[in-house]
Amino acid sequence: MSIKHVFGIPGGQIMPLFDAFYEKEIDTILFRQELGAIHAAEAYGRLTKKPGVTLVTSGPGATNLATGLANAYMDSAPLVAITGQVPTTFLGRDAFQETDSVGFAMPLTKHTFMVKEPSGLTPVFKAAYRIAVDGRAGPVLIDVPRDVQIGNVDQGYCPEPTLSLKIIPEPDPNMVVAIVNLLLKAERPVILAGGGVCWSGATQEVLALAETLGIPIVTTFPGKNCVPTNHPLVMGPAGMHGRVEGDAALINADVVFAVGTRFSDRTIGNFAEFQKGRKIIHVDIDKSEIGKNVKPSLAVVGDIKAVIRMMLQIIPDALIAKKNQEPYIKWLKQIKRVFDEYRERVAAEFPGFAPWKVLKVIREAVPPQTITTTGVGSHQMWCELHWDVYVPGTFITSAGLGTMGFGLPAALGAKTAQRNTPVVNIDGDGSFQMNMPNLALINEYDLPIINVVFNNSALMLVRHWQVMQYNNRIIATEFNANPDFTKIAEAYGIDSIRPSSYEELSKSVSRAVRNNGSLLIDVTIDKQKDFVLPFVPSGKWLKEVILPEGFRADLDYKCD
Amino acid sequence: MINMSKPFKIEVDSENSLDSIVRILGVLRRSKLRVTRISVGLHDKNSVTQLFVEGVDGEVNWVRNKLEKLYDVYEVDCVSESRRVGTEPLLSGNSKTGG
Repeated sequence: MSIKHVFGIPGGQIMPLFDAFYEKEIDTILFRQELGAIHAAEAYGRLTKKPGVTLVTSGPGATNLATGLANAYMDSAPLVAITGQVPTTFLGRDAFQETDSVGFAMPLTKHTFMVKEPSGLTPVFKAAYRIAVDGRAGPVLIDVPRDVQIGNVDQGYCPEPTLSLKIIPEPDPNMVVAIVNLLLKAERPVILAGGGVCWSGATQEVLALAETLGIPIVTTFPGKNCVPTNHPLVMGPAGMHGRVEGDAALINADVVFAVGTRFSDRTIGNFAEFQKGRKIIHVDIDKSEIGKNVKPSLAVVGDIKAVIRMMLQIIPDALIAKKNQEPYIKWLKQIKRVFDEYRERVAAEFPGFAPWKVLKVIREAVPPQTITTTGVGSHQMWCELHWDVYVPGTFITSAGLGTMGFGLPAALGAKTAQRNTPVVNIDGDGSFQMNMPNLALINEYDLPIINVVFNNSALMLVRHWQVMQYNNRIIATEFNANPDFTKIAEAYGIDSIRPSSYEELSKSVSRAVRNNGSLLIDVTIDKQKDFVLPFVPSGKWLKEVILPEGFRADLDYKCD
Repeated sequence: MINMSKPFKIEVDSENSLDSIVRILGVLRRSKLRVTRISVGLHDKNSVTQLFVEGVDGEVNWVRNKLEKLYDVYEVDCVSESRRVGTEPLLSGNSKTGG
C-alpha cells in the first residue's frame, strides 16, 4: 500500500499503534486537533488518489473526526480513519474516553470496521484501503481496541472480511448510441461536468467530446476542479454563486449531458424547473445517484471515461459537420466578456481591495500548477466565480458539506503530498480561525504554504443572507475583536503582510513562491461592500439570479 | 398513477452482524417510505432483513440503490406487495455478537 504519511494525534487508546511507527519509514504528522488531521488526510487523498490515513485515539479523538468523515463522504474523497478504542473487556461499560465510534461513523462513511481479534487487523486494513477507492471513493473507519493492538497475531490465521465490492459495469453500447443520437439531434446541448470527472480521469475525454460536437461545458462547484477554466468551451460553474454564462448555458439547453454529478441543489437550484423542456442524460459511477434528484431521459451507470470514449468512437463524422453551435457559443462568451469587463471596472471603484481582483492578482503571481485550497464562506464563493483552475485536480475545496476551517489543514495535507508544488490556501477570517492553531505545522514539518485571509471581520456569507433574506437583521455574524493575523503568523514564525495595494500583494506572493517560503497575507475587505453576486436564492431556478448592481444580462438566447 | 404510494417488501441479504442491520436501518430511516413492519432473521453465515414499506416507486428505488451500495449487503430484492401488510413491528431471530 506504500503508505508514507499518517496524519493524527496520539492518545491513550491508540498509543500501541503510534509506537509501532517509531523509527519506521511512515511519517507521523501531529496536528493540533483531530479535525485538522482528517482534513489534511482528505486533501492528501484527493491529490494522490490513494486513501489518506488519519490516526487518532478513542472518545474525543474519534468524535473530532466526525465532521471530517462527513466532508470526505460528501466530496467522495478516499480516506482511512483509524481510531483507538478502549480494551474489549471495557466496551459498553462507559470507560474513560469510550464512545461508540463505529456507531456514529456509520452514516458518515462508506463502511466501518471494529477489529476484535489481532488476526483481523491486517485483512481489515487491506479491505478498508480497498473500499476507500472502490467505485466512488470515500472514507472508511476502523476502530481498534487497545488490547487488539497489543495482542499477538497468529500469522497463519488471517480471515478476510466478506465484502460486496462494487463492479463498475461496462457501458451498454445501445444506451451509448441512444445518448449520441440525442446529443446530435439537440439544438443547444450542454455538458454538465461534476467532480466525478476528476475521479474518472476523464478530463481529456470531456474536452474532446465538447470540441467534437462544439458543446459548451458548464461545471458544478466540484467540477470546476476537473476542466481548465481557460478552455474556450468552458463556461464555468453554474448555480447559487455560479458564473452568469454558466447559468445561461444551462437555462437555454435543450439537452444536458451530465457526467459525474449528483445534481446538487446548489448547482440546479430548482429541480422541477431544471427538468422542464429539456432532456437530461446522466452518466455516473454510482447507481444510487441516477434519478435521486433529477429523473434522466437516458442514464448510464459506469465510468465516465469509458462512456465518452465509446461515444467518440461512434459519432459519425458526417453528422458532426452539420452541427454549428458557434453563434450560441459566441453569445455565451459575450456574456463572460461583458461580466469580466464589468468586474474590472467596478474593482477600480471598490473601497480597498475588491475580492475578485485580489484573486486575479494572486492567480497571476503563482504558477499554473499551484494547488489551491479554500475555507468556506464568501471568499470560497468568490473563488467559485473568479479563481481560474488551469491544471485539473489542483483546486481543493469543501463543496458538499461546506466545512469552515477546511482550507488550512487541507493545504498542509496538499503540501505533504506534493512538496515541490506551490500551495495557496484562500480563506476567510471566520473560516481560518476554526483550525488556525495548525499554523504550527508549517515550520514544524517544513510545509511552506501561502495563506491568504480575506478579512471582513464577519461570517460574511451568513451575514449576506441576513441582509437579503432576513430584512437586514444582523445577528451573531460580526467579529468585534478579531486577532491581528499578522501577529498570529509572527508568533508561529511565519512571514506576514497586510498589503496596502494590489502591487504589494502581487510582489509578496511572487516572492513567497520564488523562495518556496511560507506567508500569511491579511487582506482587509470592506464588509459593507463584500456581497457575493450573482446569487441564486436557495430553491430558485437559475433564471431568478440576482445580478450585481450595474450589470445586466439577458439570459434567454434569441439569436438562432 | 406513477407516483401512487404502494406497499413493497424489500428483502436484504447481508452479513450476519448487528452492524449490517444497523446500516440497513440507517438507510431506511432517511427515506420517505412509511415502514409498516420489519423482520430480521440471523443465520450462521448471513442475515435476512425484510422491510415492509409503503411509498412511491422512485423512493423505493432510492432505498434499494443505497442498500446495494453497502459493503456488507449481498443482495437486495424488491417486490410490490399485492395485499396490504400489517403494521405491527416484528423483530425475530437470535443475534450473534455485533460488529
